[in-house]
Amino acid sequence: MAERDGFDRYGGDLRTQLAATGFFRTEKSDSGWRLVTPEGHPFFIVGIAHVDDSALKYAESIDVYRERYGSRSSWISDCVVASLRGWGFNALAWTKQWVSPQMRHSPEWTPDEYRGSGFPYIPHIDFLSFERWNQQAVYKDVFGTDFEDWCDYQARYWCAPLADDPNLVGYAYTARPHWDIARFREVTPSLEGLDDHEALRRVVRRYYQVTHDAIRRYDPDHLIFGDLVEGADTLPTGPSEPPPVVFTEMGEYVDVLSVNWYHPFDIMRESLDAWQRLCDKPVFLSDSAFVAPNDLLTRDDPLFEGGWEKLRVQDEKERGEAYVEMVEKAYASGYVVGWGWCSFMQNKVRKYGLKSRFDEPYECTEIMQDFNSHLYANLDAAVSKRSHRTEGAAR
Amino acid sequence: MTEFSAYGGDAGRRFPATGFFRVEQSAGRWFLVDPDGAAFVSIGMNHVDESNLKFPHNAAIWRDRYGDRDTWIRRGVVHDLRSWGFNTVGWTQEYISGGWGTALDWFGDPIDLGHSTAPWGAADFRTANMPYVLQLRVQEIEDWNGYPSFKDVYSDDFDVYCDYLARSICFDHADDPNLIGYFLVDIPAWLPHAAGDDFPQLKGLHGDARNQKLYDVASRYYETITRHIRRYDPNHLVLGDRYNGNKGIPEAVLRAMQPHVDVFSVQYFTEPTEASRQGMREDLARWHEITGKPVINADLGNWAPTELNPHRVSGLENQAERGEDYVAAIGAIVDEPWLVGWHWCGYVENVGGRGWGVKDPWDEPYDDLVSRMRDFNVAVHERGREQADG
Repeated sequence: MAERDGFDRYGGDLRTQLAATGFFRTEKSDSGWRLVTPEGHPFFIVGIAHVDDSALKYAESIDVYRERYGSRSSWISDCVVASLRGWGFNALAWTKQWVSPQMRHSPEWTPDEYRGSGFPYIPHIDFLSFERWNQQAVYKDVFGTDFEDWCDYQARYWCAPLADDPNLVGYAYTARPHWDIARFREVTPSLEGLDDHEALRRVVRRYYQVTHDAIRRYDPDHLIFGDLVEGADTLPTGPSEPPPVVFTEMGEYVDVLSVNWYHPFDIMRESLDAWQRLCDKPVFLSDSAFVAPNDLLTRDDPLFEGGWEKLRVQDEKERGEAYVEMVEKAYASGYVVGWGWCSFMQNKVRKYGLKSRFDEPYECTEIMQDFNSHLYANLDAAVSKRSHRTEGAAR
Repeated sequence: MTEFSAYGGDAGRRFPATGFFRVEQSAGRWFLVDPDGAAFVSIGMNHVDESNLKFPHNAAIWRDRYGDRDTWIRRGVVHDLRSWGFNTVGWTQEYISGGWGTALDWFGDPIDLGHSTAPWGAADFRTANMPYVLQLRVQEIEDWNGYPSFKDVYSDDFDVYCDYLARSICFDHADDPNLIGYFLVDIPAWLPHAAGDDFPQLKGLHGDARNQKLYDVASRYYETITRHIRRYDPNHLVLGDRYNGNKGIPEAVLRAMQPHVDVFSVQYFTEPTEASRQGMREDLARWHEITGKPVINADLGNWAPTELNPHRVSGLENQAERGEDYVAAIGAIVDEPWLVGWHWCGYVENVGGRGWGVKDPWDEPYDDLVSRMRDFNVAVHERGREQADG
């Protein structure tokens, strides 16, 4: 990665030197949690989630793909990585994209594609597809040997080829898992006779233990970001916040608490405070965005229903400003270590991204680029501005 | 001796060349024709997945011999396949977890066989530079899938998803002469699935009522996916579903497939008996009659107990007997005028999943097996020529 002024090759903050281990790691100090790059510099993830090339292969956009890129490898380097670097983003925060009305997703990039990008990344491992949004959600007996064999395969597939790659930030799992103990009971004979709380506690513990052990069999060094835990009230299906036992049981087996919650930071803050205390981990906001109307998305699109209206902004300028405000507030929490912005390129199903489906960036990226180009100085300034305000209020 | 074309076809038997694989019927016999116009029999190897070489027991072999995927494809896969007389990279995903107890009964208790996540991509096939097939997972309703999901083929979601599959997969391969064509779903449950689920329109229907509606559902399914494939790739064959021949195929589905698909593809495993092999020949001939399509046996294999997989018991005691069985099983159909290829099940033996292959868990070929395969495979064109000349 070409170094920019003030940044190390991973996008870390050159002003501070900490211990370098050759891999991304977490660190807790008096001032809170932070990530540290392989070279030992503080790192705040400003990443992008959902990066899929089929967005640029519609009949109306196929010529753009052919003329500008022509192959997937060229699209990865000249479209994705070049754009992200240009805008000052510093990580790929999973790549599956929403591609059909019933929320089916494209496949995750392969390990070779992630590695070949030469850019920091957080891939997703499909240990168990029990997402709340997934109409094909599957629950399995996590105590069975089939589940162990499956997890071992996933770790062989992901971790064996990536174990020595410094650009790998860490491994994440399922996006918005639904810890439905009734569904687990249907497939798990050994839960018979246990009350729901104890049954769920055992399932959660076993799930995180088997997945953790599979990863560690092939990769002792990289961070584990775990599931992208679902925040409260994000879906029309109703309250979805996981019970506290999920946080207490996962703590031993993950390094970062990833949270997938489509709300402005002030609404999430109270829950995030509580959750990160329960598992004693830093928090990664793994997937959310602010959305402005565009050629595929009117103000009253059904997308904005069910809590998502809180993400709606008027225009691209507000969108960029909302990004800055969210990053500043998240950083100032002292425990949030990054954010994955939802969607690289618009497609006809998700309808929003940082680029249109004709490969043209939206104007919000100019504001993001301005902010990201002095990311760490801007973050420090925001904290200091905030603490002045707090002192002022105290007086 | 046969002189081979660049694609591994019979250079001595020529048809008009179109630049892509196609099928042709000539003098009462079906042929695959390679892009240069040579007669071609697709002899494929399935389930070629590198994760089988990354277990703790063989990771060092992977690092020493290959170290990266490109090297493994060139020096491992392509080298092996060519030297054993195989000319096609078959379906690459591998069975990596789950078991079926002592016997496999497609109508009994549901099984759940986990399959590897990612098939090979366009760049991998460019590296291999040999004929290959692709698969579009139109519906997740395989008979090995313990948690099938039957999607409504009349829904907007199905149409959008088929367009996504074609856009994302066919686009990158549309110009590639090495691509033979597109399979759809592996052993789809067109007969009721052991897990009890079914297409929404078919639930509660039985007998003639189900078959009648099944024809409509299957027609919509084939029409939709092939329309989207053709939109992004007008050049290649549609090889269709890989039907579960051992379970059976409803005639309504075969009639529905007929206007949309170019090849009748079927998974059909045999027992190591002459009766079972003849049963396969008769079943395939019957389905060929109904569809009027050339036939590929898209997945067949055999197994014997090994050091790391002593539970893989069959009527075959060892690798030499597997070699005999390969020759006898394929020998039962190879001279049929409708057969245009077969894809063999299993490259490197894994543990925890399939548990058999033509190479052992340490990446060494089972010589007693592959020597018989090689002799049989390289003679196949001569055999076809003699038959035509005779």
